[in-house]
Amino acid sequence: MLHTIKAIALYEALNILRDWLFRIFAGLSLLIMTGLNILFFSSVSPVPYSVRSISGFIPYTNLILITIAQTAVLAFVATDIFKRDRKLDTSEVIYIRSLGNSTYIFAKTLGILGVFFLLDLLLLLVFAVLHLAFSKTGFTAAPYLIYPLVMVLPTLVFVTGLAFLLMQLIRNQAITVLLILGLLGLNLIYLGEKQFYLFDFLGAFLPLTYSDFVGIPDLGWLLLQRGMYLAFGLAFLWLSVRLFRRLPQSGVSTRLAPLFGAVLLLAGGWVASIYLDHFYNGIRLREAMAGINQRYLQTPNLTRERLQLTLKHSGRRIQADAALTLHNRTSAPLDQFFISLNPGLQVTETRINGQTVSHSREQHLITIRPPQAVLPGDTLRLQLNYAGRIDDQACYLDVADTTRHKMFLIYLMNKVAKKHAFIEDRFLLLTAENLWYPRVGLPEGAGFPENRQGNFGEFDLTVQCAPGMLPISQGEREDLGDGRYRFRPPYSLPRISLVIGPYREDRITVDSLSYHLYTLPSHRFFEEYFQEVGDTLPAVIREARQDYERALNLSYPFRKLELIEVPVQFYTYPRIWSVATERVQPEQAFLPENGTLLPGADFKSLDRRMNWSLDRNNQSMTDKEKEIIRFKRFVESTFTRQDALPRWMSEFGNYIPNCDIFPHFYSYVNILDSPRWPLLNAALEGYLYRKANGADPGGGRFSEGMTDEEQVSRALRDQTLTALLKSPRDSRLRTDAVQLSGEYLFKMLESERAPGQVSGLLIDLVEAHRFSIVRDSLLIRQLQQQLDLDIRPALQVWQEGKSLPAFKVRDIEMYRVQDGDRLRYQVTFLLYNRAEVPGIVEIAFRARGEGRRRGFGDFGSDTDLARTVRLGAREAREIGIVLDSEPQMIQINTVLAENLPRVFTQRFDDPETRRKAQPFDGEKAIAYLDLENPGEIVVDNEDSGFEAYNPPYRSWLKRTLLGERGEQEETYERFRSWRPPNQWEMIKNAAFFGDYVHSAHYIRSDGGPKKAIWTVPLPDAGTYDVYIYIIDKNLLTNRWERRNEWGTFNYTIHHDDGAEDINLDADSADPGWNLLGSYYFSQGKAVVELVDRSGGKLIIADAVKFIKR
Amino acid sequence: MQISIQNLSKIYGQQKRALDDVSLQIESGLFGLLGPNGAGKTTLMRILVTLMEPTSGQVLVDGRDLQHYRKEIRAISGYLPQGFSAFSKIRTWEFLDYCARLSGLKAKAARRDAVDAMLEKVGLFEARDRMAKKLSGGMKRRLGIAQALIGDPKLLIVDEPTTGLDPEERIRFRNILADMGHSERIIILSTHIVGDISSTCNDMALLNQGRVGFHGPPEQFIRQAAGHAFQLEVSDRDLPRIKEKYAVISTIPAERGWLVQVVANRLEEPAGKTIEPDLEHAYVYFMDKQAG
Repeated sequence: MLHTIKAIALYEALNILRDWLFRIFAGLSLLIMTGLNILFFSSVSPVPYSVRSISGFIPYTNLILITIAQTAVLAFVATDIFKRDRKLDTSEVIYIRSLGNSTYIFAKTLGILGVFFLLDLLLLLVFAVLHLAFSKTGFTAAPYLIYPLVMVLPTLVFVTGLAFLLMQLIRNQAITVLLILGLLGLNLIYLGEKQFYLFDFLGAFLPLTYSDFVGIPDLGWLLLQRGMYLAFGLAFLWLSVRLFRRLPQSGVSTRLAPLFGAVLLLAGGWVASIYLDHFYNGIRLREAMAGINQRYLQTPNLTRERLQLTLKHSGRRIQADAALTLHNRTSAPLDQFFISLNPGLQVTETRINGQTVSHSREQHLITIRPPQAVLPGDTLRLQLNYAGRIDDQACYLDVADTTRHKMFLIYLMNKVAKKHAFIEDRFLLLTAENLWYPRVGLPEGAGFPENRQGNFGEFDLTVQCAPGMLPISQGEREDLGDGRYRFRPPYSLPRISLVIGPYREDRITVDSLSYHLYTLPSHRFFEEYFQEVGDTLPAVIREARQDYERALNLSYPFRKLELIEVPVQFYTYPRIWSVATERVQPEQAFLPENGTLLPGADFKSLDRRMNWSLDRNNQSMTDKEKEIIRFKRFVESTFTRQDALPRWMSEFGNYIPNCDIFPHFYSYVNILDSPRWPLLNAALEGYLYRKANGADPGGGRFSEGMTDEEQVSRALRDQTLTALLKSPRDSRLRTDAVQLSGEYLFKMLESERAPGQVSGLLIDLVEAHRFSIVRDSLLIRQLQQQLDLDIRPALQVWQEGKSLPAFKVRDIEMYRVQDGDRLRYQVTFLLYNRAEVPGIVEIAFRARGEGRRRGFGDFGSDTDLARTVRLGAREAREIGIVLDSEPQMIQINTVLAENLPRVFTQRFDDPETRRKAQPFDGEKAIAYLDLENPGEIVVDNEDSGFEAYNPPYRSWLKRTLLGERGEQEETYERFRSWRPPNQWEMIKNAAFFGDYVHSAHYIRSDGGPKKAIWTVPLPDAGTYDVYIYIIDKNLLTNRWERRNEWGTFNYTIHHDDGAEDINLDADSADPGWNLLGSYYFSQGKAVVELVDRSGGKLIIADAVKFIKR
Repeated sequence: MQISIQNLSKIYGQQKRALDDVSLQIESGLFGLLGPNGAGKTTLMRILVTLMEPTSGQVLVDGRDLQHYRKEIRAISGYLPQGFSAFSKIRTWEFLDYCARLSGLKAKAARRDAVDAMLEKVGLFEARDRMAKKLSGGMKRRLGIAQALIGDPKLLIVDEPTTGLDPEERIRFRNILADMGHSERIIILSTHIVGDISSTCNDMALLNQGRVGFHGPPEQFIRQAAGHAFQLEVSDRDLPRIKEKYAVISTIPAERGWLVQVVANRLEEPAGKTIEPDLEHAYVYFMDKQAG
């Protein structure tokens, strides 16, 4: 039989090899993929470094692309075999040979698979050669072997089986191919991610990124998914044997084939259920843990003072003996207490003061009843022996399942597993979030926002690890011999972490602070970029540290800083209760493998930009100077000022590892404990964090949708901060809300006293209480005593208040003014707060000629803060600012207010010189009512009189796949002039008309019968001038976007004598109010309509104004 | 070797009876299956090569039921179907090599020799490297017989092999078949071309409308037409009438009109003379009689 199989397989293979479709596919694959590889992965590649930073990316990315293309070609080739069989009369001479139907079908399968698989191997070989020849990424052979077997082979078998089966059932090649291509498309655009990648028959969505530290984590689970498709593919083949239209030769095809098919289908289904169970068990586990946390939230507990831990890392397990010194700080005796430990770790023994005691366990929570109640002030020693692995799914209970299950993508192609802990043969990484050591009480953040349960304590860790492995934890590493090491941090800490790996250590000490870098010995990609800087490095490091400390006004509190390379799969989520993520631990920051995804590690791109800039400015730089810039840029972009990704990019699975070292300056060394205002600690942290990161005085690109800050402002318009934090809104919004409202709170407090007074006191307090808890009473007392400032009412309003200030800016002017013998620049405007609560605005200017970054090595802000203005409820002021240099633009940041955009910007034209004007630098109170314009009736697109109806319509396909469009939250979108929406969408821009929300509706021209209607309430009958507000096109669009014509906006004015159509050329209309005409209207409601047809690209609906004559 | 066909019937769908209670005994040698188009020859052939199941009846090959011993019977069968002309992208020798592999020739050297010998035998050696689909009709048919013969099958079934071939190819083909027929094997040659059978077969059956009209040696079949084959010379004027009245076998131009051969129970033309019938005369006579 083997002989026959070989004969048929070879014959099929020969036919495929001579098939033009296959030849074209193979040729193009070779050509295109070789080109792409040279383009993407070579060291001269212009694409971002992260695309090629991991050695496994080369085979991984390539095979994803090939698998997709190959599936399409395979659908043709596999179905063609049966079409050919049917078409060719010569196939009958084969059918009458002595061979079973199963032999025939499987031999053909083998022929097809052989050809495609060999092609893949050949391509991989080419990639491997290119990898070795062109790429500087280290070469690892394992992914070249794993990916074809795990990703490609099951897909090939599945698609071949499916093609065979469909051909037997449908007997039509075109329909079969269409069905398979449809499935392929569905996999790629919709199904791939669903149900934990269950439907991803391509394997293109499975997180298969290979790490040089740990390989492919959780490969076992992923193999189940692959196994399922392999089983289904084989099942389809057996069913094809049964359905094959040739008289069977033996009972195998008639009786056994359907049996095998059914068994394999069941096996595939069974494997799928195990696979899904794994994930759903995780969901259930987290639900159970969250439920337990809720139950124990108010239960009094002991406090940990000291933890002595001995841990042995052997293979894929840890074994630990923990001794905890616990203290009853409550005012009542406790007859039981509880600790949390990862559910994957099994406790074998618990002892109190040397005496064995029993314990009960619910998932992570271990409840222990001491022989006698622990009296207030008493201390006991608890010993705990435990062993096992970390269950990753028990981490991040605060993160919604939908967020957890979102992909982690590196540049669209490479899907990475999200891992929070590693215990592998040659690597271990454990952080507090994993509950790898007993945590007294509930997991961190379980009670947030009411209670965070932070604490400082003493740690003493002894680690036993395999030869060649280096453990890293907080404190100095003492080598005890025989692979044993001890860590005793010299300060109280809120947490410790442990990393063990085959590391190479680099160390430098600057100003008694030691800096350590731990990398894999083969991961030294950065060395070539730092050949010369050696002796200058201490000075550069010193400067970087001083800059940061100066910006924050706080000193680095630890004795060392360790930068540790960790697997690319290590994934951290932002926390709502703290700026700190698991990526940064006391004394440590975990850098992703090979610097992947760190913008600052893309030295190549930086060099390109730097050289371009130098060439343009006809400058030159020594290699050493370039290296210093590289270093500074890396430090700055990795550890400070890290920009968050645009929301849509993170929605898409993109991720920047957050290595911000801010937590070292506050989060891990201070706790401001406030039972009454539990958010106070997070607020202070947020305030300091935004201060350290130079929170944007500018406003970002003007065509963006809502910024994170604006989303927070929107969310806080009508609910308290506490309510928002408890709501199921996305965690990024809630995290931002804590930080932004913290910044707002402390800026408000600052604005009540002279600049620097409040912040100075805060900084002193923080510095004076490192590694310990500060009670809120101390802060309140000091502010009261030293600055005569009672912050309690402000705290109450801040935490429980429901309204925000709303600022209106009017009459901005800028002109030259004679100030003594100098010509200076005078800016004046009116500012008033329409809300019932006070607020602050920050005014900044961008000087002329500072449109872009000023150069390399200069990291100063583009925009300088000129003044902070505080306005009480319904208060109005005239503001005057005199500047020495000519401003190009004013930016008025409303911090946390109802305003949209949050930062109001206005560009200045060339100023006139007003010889007679007096310079005015200050604030003048003016009457609030003076600012209203009587006689004007305005209906803005934000008002209730405006209507832009969007039918809840979706195409049939979208409805089928995504369901009906539900009620959508009102949001402002990015302005896309090149591809406007076919539904009315809201956009914001300071140049739109608005009271404090400057927005408009816009839509694609000819989007459908969708009108915008303004209904204007007229108190009296009479003749009215009707105006329409047109935005300055130049302010909304850039040079390229301006080329798109907007066309003619067609308004219909319904007045007493009928309706009048007015056409307005939107491209050439004067910015601002445009008079459409004067008409007689009766008392009641007047209607102006705008149809969605302009002959151009888009329609914008903003505001109408009626003025009675 | 012996094939016993017993009460074999095949009904397509509800109505069409392609074979109707066919019973035949076929012994070693060349067996001719003659019949007009649509007589059921191909259906019978396809049943014999296990491409199709009969509706009823059975076929025993050396006493073994065809339905239950497909594997064994396929192992000794060679088949050349009626329209053997379409090939995938394969060379002549590759196709033959593929068939040789499937017929059980494992050793590479032996297979190569067998393929070469067979190509030589059917006169395709020169064309061995040509793509099979590019061969001429006759060459393709020769390749067909080569693939059918490659494993030295004991049962060779050849369906309408000479249709569409030029006379030279046809004679060549008949010769190949005649050579094969000497050994201990059964060759069943299905055809509607009488000449194929007369020149090669030692036993034959005539199938008409799914039934066996005759079974026996060709000589016996010819004898049935003795005294019923005539030759006469007719004028241009009489020719239409003769064609109307008799089954005309051949019409050859003569000095004073036409030399015409006809078959009939009785010739009512005074000028006609009886001639020795051949298979063609017998076939036409038979079919004419059947038609009433």
